[in-house]
Amino acid sequence: MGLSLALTTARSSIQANAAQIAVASRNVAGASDPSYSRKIAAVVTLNGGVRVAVARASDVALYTRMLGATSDLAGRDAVLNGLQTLQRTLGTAENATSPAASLGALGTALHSAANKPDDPALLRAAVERARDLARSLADGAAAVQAVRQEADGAMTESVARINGLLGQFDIANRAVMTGTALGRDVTDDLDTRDRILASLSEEIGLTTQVREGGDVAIYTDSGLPLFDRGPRRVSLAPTPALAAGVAGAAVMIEGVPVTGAGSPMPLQSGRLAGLSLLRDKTAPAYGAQLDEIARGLVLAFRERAADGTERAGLFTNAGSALLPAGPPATGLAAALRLNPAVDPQGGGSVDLLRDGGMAGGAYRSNPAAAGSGTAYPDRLRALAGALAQAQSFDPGPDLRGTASLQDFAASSVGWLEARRKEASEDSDAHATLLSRASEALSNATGVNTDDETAQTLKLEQAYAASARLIALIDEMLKTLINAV
Amino acid sequence: MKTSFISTQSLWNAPRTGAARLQAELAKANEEVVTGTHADLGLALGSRTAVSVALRRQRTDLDAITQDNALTSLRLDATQASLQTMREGADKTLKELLAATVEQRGTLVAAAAGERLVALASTLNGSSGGQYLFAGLNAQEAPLTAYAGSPPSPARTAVETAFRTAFGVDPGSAGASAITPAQMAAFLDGAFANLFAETAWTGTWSDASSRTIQSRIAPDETAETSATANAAPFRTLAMAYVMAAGLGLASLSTETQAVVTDRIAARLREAGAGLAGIEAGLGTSQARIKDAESRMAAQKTLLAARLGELEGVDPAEAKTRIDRLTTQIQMSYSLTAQLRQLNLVSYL
Repeated sequence: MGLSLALTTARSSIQANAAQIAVASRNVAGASDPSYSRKIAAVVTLNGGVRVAVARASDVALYTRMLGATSDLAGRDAVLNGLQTLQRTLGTAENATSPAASLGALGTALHSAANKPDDPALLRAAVERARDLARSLADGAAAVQAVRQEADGAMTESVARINGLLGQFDIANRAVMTGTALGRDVTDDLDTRDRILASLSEEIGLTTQVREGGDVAIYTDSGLPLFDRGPRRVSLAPTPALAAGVAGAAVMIEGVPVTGAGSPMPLQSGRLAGLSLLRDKTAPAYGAQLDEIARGLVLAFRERAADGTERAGLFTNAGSALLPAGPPATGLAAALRLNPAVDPQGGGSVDLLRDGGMAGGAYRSNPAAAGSGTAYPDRLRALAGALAQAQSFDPGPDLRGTASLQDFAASSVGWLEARRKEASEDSDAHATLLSRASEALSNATGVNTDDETAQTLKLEQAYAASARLIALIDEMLKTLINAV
Repeated sequence: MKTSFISTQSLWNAPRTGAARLQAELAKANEEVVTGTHADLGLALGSRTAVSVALRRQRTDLDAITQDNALTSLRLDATQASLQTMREGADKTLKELLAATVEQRGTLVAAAAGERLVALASTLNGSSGGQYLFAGLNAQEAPLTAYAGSPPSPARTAVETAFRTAFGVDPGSAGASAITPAQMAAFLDGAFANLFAETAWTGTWSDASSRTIQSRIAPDETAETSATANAAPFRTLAMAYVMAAGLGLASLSTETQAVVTDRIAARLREAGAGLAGIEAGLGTSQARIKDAESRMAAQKTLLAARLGELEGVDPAEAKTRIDRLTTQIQMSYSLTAQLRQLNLVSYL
């Protein structure tokens, strides 16, 4: 009786060994998959024999930290990318085509023209600098709109991806729940589910809650359910053409807005939150600064008649003779045009830059009759001076205040660079955090192939011992049968 | 047990992720050595980029003023040369007048003054760089209408009309010899002199503007950098020449001629002094431009230094950084190579 028991035990031991080796080779196979977690073959003693139960290495705290770091980084990167695009188009200090540099060039050209006002070439040069400046502002406004439109497109894609991932998560979650109920090995299903969660955390900040039966519910980092026994619908109506100064549509989860000013529970992190910040806050803030520069320009170059009426001069709001309202003068940077009366390309005469009177004869400031007094410098000098004169600007809370147009344009460059520096440092810091969190998680749940190899060697020895035992029992049984 | 556990993944990744970061830093340091400034200015300066933008604007502004000053200096030099010619002409006429005998004055001096009057008009109509030098703000119009010419210039008509009104005869006609010295003195100091007052002058002689050109010679400094043909010395000079050449000096009685020549000499002296005054004034402007130039040169050096401080990196430091990074990258590579051999299977 004892011998047959020993034989059964040895047999179960061999089976357990084989199962353990199978787990070790599974581990080795998954060693290079970052979302693979180490499987642990636990040997359980059962009725004198042994059995193997497979579990997986996991660390909920580290995993949660990794998810959070992923969301944080994705959000910051989205903002940083947008700022980089803006900065590349116009921000840098060396860039001679930026609004600030063009403004400086216009001031210089006006001063040069004032030193020799009768030289049409110098007047023409000043008008061309003005054209460059208008173009630079229009380019800037276009870049802001492009960044916003791109962010809107990326948000639509992100929403589609979230919906797709939630669908996959549903399947994986069901597999885990069924497997757990049936007592199957669900470790691979758990890995799959974790992988989907990690992808999801790039798009949207989230928290998870583990429930009975292996079920997991997902909430956004603001606390709105995203998956609870089934995926919630995330939607965003894409805006085909975002108008300047108008916020894009909000992302909705089951009808509740989670981005934008009207959201009761706004998203804190993830790409979606970053893109929404870029689309509705950061880029429009820069756009408002460009609009303020444009408004300042129209005002600085305005013409005044003897009766005190003021009309637009060199720069106009889309050709209108009236001065723009504001602040805010939304969309003015894109609509800034040279006055056709002074634009040689529009058949105008550059002399009006010197004499004034683009808005009509009543606005002429040169006291001499037309055609004489061609070296009249006062108007040109006044215009150059107006660029250095203090005006009040209100592009939003950041740069509100009184400054000269030149200084305001320079501050605007400074503002953009400061935001970019901040975003870049933030992004670097979070990248380091994510890499630390990933490394810690990998060390806690990852596979060490050498360890698995050593484990296999040990198992090989155990297998040999069990096999030897079986051979021995066989021998003993043979002896017994022969003796009978 | 758990503390010493490291997954193969992070073991292999550690040197790899490090290498990527080091390479990015190396590229940055390389650029800094080449340009001498931060590789990414905005990222290095942040909000202080505004200062850099303002400094650059000041620098281009100074450059532009320096260029403009070269043009202005050219105009001033040309103006000074013209003024000198006119002053010398006045001096010469005065000498000739004083040297000539009473009989010669009527013919010789009148002829010489006629030529000088033509020369005065052409000098005042001189231009430089497409600008009439003495036109004031009316820089695109020749300031002076020549006195002699056909049809008779408004100035000449005005002088002759005034002469006829005063004496009832044409200048140079036979009846002119009856004009008494007292009559002539009254005419010259009254009706005739009025013709050369600024209002009459701008009506008959000159199309120039009485305002001179002011130029910005430094960021916050302007200077008068032209003379206008409406200035008193030019009018006085023209008056002297017209007295000598346009009143028919030879036809007057000797006593009356003496009155006229006295006036001519006085006007010539006055004009010479006035011209010297204008020369001195413009000379001051020239000196101020020179001063401004040297000040702006110093300012530019200062600006360049400040920009350098703000944007520059120490190339020696950047070079050391490159050396350090290169060594680190090499170490990282050799570590990766060593890791490849660290595999339990190879030793079994």
